Amino acid sequence: MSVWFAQSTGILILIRFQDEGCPNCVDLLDVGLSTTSPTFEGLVAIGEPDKSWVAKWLRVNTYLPGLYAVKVMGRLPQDIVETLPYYRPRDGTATD
Amino acid sequence: MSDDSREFERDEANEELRELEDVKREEDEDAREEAELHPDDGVESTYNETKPIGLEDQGNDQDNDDQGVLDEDDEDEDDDDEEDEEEDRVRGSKKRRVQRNRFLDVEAEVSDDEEDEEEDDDELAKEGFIAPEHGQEDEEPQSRDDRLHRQVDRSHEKSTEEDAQKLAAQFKERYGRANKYRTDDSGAVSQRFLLPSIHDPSIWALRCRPGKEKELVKKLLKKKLTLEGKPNALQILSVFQRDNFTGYVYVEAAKLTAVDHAIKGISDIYGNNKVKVPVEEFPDLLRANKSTEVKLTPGGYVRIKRGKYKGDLAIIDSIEENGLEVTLQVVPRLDYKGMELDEETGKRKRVTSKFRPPQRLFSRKEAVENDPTNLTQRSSNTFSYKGEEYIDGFLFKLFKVQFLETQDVQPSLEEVSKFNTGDTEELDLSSIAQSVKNSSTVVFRTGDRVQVLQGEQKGLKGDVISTSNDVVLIKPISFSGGNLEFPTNNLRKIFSTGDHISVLRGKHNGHTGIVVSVQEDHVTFISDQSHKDVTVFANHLTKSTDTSTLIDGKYGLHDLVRINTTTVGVVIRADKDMFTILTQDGKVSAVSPSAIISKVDIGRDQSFATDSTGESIKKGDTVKENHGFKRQGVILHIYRSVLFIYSKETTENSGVYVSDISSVSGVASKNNFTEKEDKIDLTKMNPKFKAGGSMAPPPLPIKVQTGRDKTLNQNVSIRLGEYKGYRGIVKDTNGDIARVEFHTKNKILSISKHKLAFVDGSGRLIPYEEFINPKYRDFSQPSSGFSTPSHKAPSYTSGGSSSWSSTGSNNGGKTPAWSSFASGGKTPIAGGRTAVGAHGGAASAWGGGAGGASAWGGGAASAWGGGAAAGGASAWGGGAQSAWGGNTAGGASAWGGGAQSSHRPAAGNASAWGGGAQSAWGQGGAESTHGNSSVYGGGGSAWNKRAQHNNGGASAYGGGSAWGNNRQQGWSAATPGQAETPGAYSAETPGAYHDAETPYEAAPTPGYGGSAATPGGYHSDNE
Repeated sequence: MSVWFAQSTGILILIRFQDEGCPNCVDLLDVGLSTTSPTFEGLVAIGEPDKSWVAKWLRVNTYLPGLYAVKVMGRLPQDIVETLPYYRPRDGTATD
Repeated sequence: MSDDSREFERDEANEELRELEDVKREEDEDAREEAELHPDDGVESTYNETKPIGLEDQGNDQDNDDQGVLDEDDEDEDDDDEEDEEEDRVRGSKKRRVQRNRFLDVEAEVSDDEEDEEEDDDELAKEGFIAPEHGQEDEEPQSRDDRLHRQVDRSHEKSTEEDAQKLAAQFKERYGRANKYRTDDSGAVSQRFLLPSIHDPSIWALRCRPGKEKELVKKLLKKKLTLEGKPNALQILSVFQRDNFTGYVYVEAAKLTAVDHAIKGISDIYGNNKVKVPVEEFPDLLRANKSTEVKLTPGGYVRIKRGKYKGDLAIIDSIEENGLEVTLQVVPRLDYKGMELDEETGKRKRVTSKFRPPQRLFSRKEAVENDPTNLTQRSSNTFSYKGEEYIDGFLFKLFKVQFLETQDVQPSLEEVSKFNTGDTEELDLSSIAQSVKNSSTVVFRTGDRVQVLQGEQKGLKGDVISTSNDVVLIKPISFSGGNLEFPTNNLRKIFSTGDHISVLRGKHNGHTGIVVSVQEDHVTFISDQSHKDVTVFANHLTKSTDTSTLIDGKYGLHDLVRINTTTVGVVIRADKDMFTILTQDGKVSAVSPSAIISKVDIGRDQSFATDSTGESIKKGDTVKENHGFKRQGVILHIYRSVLFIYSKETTENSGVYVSDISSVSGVASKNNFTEKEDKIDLTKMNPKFKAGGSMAPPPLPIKVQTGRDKTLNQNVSIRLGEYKGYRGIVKDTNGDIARVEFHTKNKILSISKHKLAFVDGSGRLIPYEEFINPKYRDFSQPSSGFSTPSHKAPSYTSGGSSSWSSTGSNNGGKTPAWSSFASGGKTPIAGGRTAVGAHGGAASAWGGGAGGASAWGGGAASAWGGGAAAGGASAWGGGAQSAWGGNTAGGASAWGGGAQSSHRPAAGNASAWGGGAQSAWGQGGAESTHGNSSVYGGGGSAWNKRAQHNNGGASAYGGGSAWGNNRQQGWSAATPGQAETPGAYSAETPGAYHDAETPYEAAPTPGYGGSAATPGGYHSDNE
């Protein structure tokens, strides 16, 4: 299984990901080449998103437990970004 | 309807839908009631009334009813669920989401319908199908309808109000939560508000086996998920790794025990090495953009990591939207022929990074020649060849970012220049500079001058004080705020024209040169090695004062290297990849570093040789050729019988030449201990030092001491050395060494006589040189002239002449007499010039003086005649007595005394002159030739007396007084002008002597001028 990360949330849940898609954004995005990225850095296993500061900092505290990445290269295509209420790229370019 | 609008309207639509559901429920109930009450009332009218809200349901009555029921149940269930099972939300949400999804889909359709319906309605209304109907039908049941409607409205209102709170809560609960699943809420919060506090869990850094970090993260997650809900569930919250920190995994947990528990039994993790990360470092640990990372921008430089172009520099042409792929401009490595050949033979050689064609711009001609079928010309300079795009000769190809090296690209100017097609002369150095700037391999050395590129201190200049890893400590110039630290990539070295630099990296590594121009980041210098101007990046340079630092560390200039088993040579020029070598047979050859076998180490036994004269010569000695050019140089190496000699005078072969040991002879040996004793002592050659004193006497023949050493039993004082100031007596002498017994200590010291000062008769201390050789004093003190026998003749001559003249003048008028005497006086000067041997000369002078004597006329004449006859000079030699004696009866005896000893003639003279003054003179002469002024004074008095005798000789003696004898009132009284004289004379030091000249010249009377000439002459004579 190659490692693919959803570009919007940076999640990866082991094997289920490819079969079922990203559980965090299944109703938003389809898993596909345009929405996933092979390049990431900083593998993060979130066990308890609601309690973990790491999850909060990475803004995945409302997501499911699983494997995330600190940084995911690539950005969602513009047409998909437009469908999202908010899009924060996870390629390290977002600043706040 | 587009996806996005659907998305955005979702919430709104949901809300509407909720309301709709509630309202519809009410309405349905109402309608049913009313239907019971008023069976004729159509559902339609009801729906018309509620049209603003519920119109959209019209077409889907059936579905909606079903759905409504379903929803109702669902909602109730939801309400219960939400109130009860907060903790199970995560699981539950999925199920619900699925349901909602279905629901939303329906809703979306409904929404569509709504619009359609509205349109339909509008159309219908326009066409008059609906409105008229309403109008007609409504008139009759108006009142009832109103009531019913009001009722409906009221109930609607009521239920709305009642439910408002609940609904709001519901909605918030449901959709608020749902929203959380998207990035909406959290994404909008600035990360500032997410900063960790002490209430947040801690993070521990755990050492692990490097390379296993990701695996461990996954493993721990799996373990965590597996044990979830079990009694031994892991209490850790998250685990992560960063590529920057190899060998570490980070575990987030509330307690350390949880970490310990979690990692128990997991291999590759070193549990006893846990470090708690400080809270303030949390954000850095999870920063998405590493500061070192280079952001790709079009125009920037990258290096390709894989494939045919591995290691090649490329320019980013464009970046794909997703940021994962970039189009690069690459210098193609096309093998037009090779490809064809491969196809023919069927063996398609795989082009690898090791075996690949060289970089060359795309050539249309070659492409046409070799494979025209695959070539498509798009425009004048755009081609498609074998499926790849070539523009202006460059390949433009899509590469994946992960196959590119984006950091530390370090493009060299050479590489960059390949992208310079020649259309534009100027390279885009700024972009290169950008790439270079980001490199972390810039070497900053202590003393480098740098400038800050970014941040608050941007533009600040300073000198590097120290560097450690990526941080450089800088002492700012013109800023007194102390030293500052900066990251290396924030600094740029700065140079100014004229700096001498050396190159630290790149093609020109090792070159040194002088900066001729500086433009921003690139520096042009004239290389000392190639004598060409070279442009490099400032950061690749460092200041250097060393010109001859040569390039390859293995062999340096003038190293003796072995080229093959029989040939050795000396490196006479070292370039980057070429050495020029002068071999033992005198040939010059250029070899590559690899052709040099090794440096030749000459053993100790071989480092000496024998030159043609049989003398030992060795490395570093200066030798001269016996024949031929007679070149002279320093031996660089001795290899068997061959000498490699370096001479600064020859330019050929950088000054190195080869010679044979039998054809050279040593000139100067370097540190040859065997010759040490013969080493010429420069101090001995220098009269200043030789004399051992600080005075600078002219070289004089050292008087060979004969007979008993004069210094014996003399009282001395030590002038130099640690015993300086001690007094003692010389007990014994041996050559230059005297053994001195101190008066104070019971000690005998052997000391050089030159370090002694001798006590003369008057108690003065005089240096040894003066003591044994009174002439010594002459030069420093004119008065000594009186006492020095050898020079006495002239001096006395002059003195005598003046005196005589004075005598003569006594008889005649002063002036004429003086003048005549002046001439007479002068003569002896000449005689005096002939120094010691010049006694004879002096004699003649005396003769002259005698001649003058005739002029004197007076009674003195006869006397003088005698003097003259004596030849004065000869008489001076010792026989002067008679002459003098003849001169004056009274003085004769005195003169005799004076003549007896060459050292005492002064006394003799004095006595002669003085008559009564004899004693005074005698003392002066006897004690020390270097007369003390007092002594002379005594003499003076004698003179004076004599002058008295000679009655009126006073004026004449005025001249004599210039001679010196100063102290005397009598003398000075004699002539008015003499007031000056005594002062001058009083000084005994050489300086005073010079001063003393002045009085002579200043002698007021013409006669004096004449007499003044004499001592002046005497003076010059000694010079």
